[in-house]
Amino acid sequence: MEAEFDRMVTSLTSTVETTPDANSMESLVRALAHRPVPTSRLARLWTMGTTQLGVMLRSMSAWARGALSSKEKRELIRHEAQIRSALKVLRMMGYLRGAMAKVGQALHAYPQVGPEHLGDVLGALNCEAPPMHFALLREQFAAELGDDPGRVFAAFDPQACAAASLGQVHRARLHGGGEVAVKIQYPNIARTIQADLGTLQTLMAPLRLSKEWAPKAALVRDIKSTFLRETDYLSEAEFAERARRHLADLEDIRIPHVHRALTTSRVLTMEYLEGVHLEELLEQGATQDTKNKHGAQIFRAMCRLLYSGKMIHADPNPGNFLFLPDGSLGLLDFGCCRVLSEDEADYFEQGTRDFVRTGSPSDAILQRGALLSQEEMQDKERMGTLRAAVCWLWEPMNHDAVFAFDDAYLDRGMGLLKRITDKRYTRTTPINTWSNRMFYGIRIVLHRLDARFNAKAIHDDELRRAGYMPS
Amino acid sequence: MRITAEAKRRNREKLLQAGSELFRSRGFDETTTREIAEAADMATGTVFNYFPAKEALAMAILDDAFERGQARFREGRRGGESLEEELFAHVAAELRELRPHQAFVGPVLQSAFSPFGGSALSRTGDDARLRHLEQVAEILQGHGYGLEDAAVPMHLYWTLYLGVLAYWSRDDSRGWQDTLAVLDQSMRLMVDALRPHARRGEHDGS
Repeated sequence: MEAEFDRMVTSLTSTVETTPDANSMESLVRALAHRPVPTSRLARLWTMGTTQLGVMLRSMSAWARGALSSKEKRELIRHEAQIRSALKVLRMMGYLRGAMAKVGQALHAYPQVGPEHLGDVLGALNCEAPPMHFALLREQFAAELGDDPGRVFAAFDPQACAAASLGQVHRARLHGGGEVAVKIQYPNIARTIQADLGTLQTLMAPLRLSKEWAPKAALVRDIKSTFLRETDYLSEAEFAERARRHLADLEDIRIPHVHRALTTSRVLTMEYLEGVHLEELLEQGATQDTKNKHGAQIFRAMCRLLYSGKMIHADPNPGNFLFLPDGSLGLLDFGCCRVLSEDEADYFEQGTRDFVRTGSPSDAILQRGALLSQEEMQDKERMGTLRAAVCWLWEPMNHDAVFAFDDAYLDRGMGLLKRITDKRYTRTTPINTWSNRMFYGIRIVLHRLDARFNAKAIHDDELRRAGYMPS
Repeated sequence: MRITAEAKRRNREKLLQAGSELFRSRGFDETTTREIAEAADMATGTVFNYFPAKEALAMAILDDAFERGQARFREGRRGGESLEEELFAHVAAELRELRPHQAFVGPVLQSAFSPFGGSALSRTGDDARLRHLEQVAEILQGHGYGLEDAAVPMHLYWTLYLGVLAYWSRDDSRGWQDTLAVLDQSMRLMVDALRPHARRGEHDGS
């Protein structure tokens, strides 16, 4: 009997595709570099379906083996299954690039919400997407700007200097002088994203019968329109210019100037900023003063954009912050931004006034943000959890002294987020999906930076500037 | 009156030019040999001294484009490119030269590159096919691939290449985005299929 069970378990696990040395990140990324990006919906559905099947099979095998094992062995098996699932998801996301890579990056911003180690594994997606070769990039560039990059620029480096989730970045020099960064999009990526999100809607079809369908469908529609906007670099250029206008008086925060004449929907040419990313800054042994200063810059920039600029930068991952040698902060990648509608701006204004008045969100704001029914508002546990999560976000701005974005603070927040996820209190108005990415993402970056500064002072200053508080 | 070689060459060029313009503006099927002759300021019968049929004239236009594309590819090589990149660049260079003729590539190559052969047009297509595959063979050898048992991989390559051409001939996406993606994926698929054929001790084409 046990032998037969083992054979069944073995056959279940053997149907799931693995790569040699599957636990090696290096070999995974290398394997990803050789995979094409399928753009037809059927191909991507097959891939996603295979991955879902793979994850399910692994869980089943873990359960099957667990049913015959001691508690300790069950834990080990669960751990192994999660790592393999994480690796499988990583392979799928890297393989598919497009929208799934963006979802992967969003998950990385919540390190304790997914399976164990999933955050670390998905972290590879932030700055390490595989490159296009020069011949492909040259054709894409010529199709957009009418000539080869070697002729459009005085100099063009055929080697990418950075990866973007939808393409890659190259250094170049203008004929009139001046160093630029040229971001070039992988061909046909908009269709990839439409296929991905169409597949997501298909996979969500069973939800149609539940009351979760309408908000989930609205969320997918919202994600789709925002991701598609990300494929339009002209839209990104507009966001970058809007952000520059609102941060113009902050001399220590720089947003690269966009060269409009050399920018199209698939090629973005920007001023090149010389600096280091977060991990390199830490490896260089940045002093606490430096880390505090940069943390304060990041926080002020996001507050300014939200309150004065009425815009959300929803992709605050470490790859989008640059730390310049003169102590300035560079803000990159405005592809995933939202300008608030009138209704959304009103929602944030009401929430902010609640905070200024009482330091806590009102029932009305919680109802509006979480789309709660009257019945759900009577659920004390739900209301308590949601209120606690919002208060956690406000905690640095309620603390009238230097605030440390330390492990204890982050652990509390991630614990609340996990409770919200586990209890399925996740229904939310679409704009919260983007603002939460910014709010949580910034806190995770500040935690990584180990930044300590008076967040309340900066926040109040920005509220006064935007007219939310008297001067 | 005998006509000089130079005059023959000029006449041929005039016919190719006239044919190209008419195929683009009126469509391949809608253009007649008589119209080509009139546009080239020649008698209809003269056309047949140079090309046995309209299709042969069209194939000559495309053949010139293929040759220019291959020359463009050879001039554009930087050295150090990966196998995927070289295979991609070779086809991409041809497509650039074929662009003005996109509207009639499909109808012409359907006969010229037909795997069943037999027609006069397909014999012209054979010459173009052989030149293309000779270039591919040279690329592969440069990346350490032995060609002793290359029949199956080369057949796979030709199939993928025809697929790209057919796709491109109907591609109306801006900047031929769709074709670039299909070409990239096809060449990566080709290189993946080639790996078992790498010579022992030499690099595998990356």
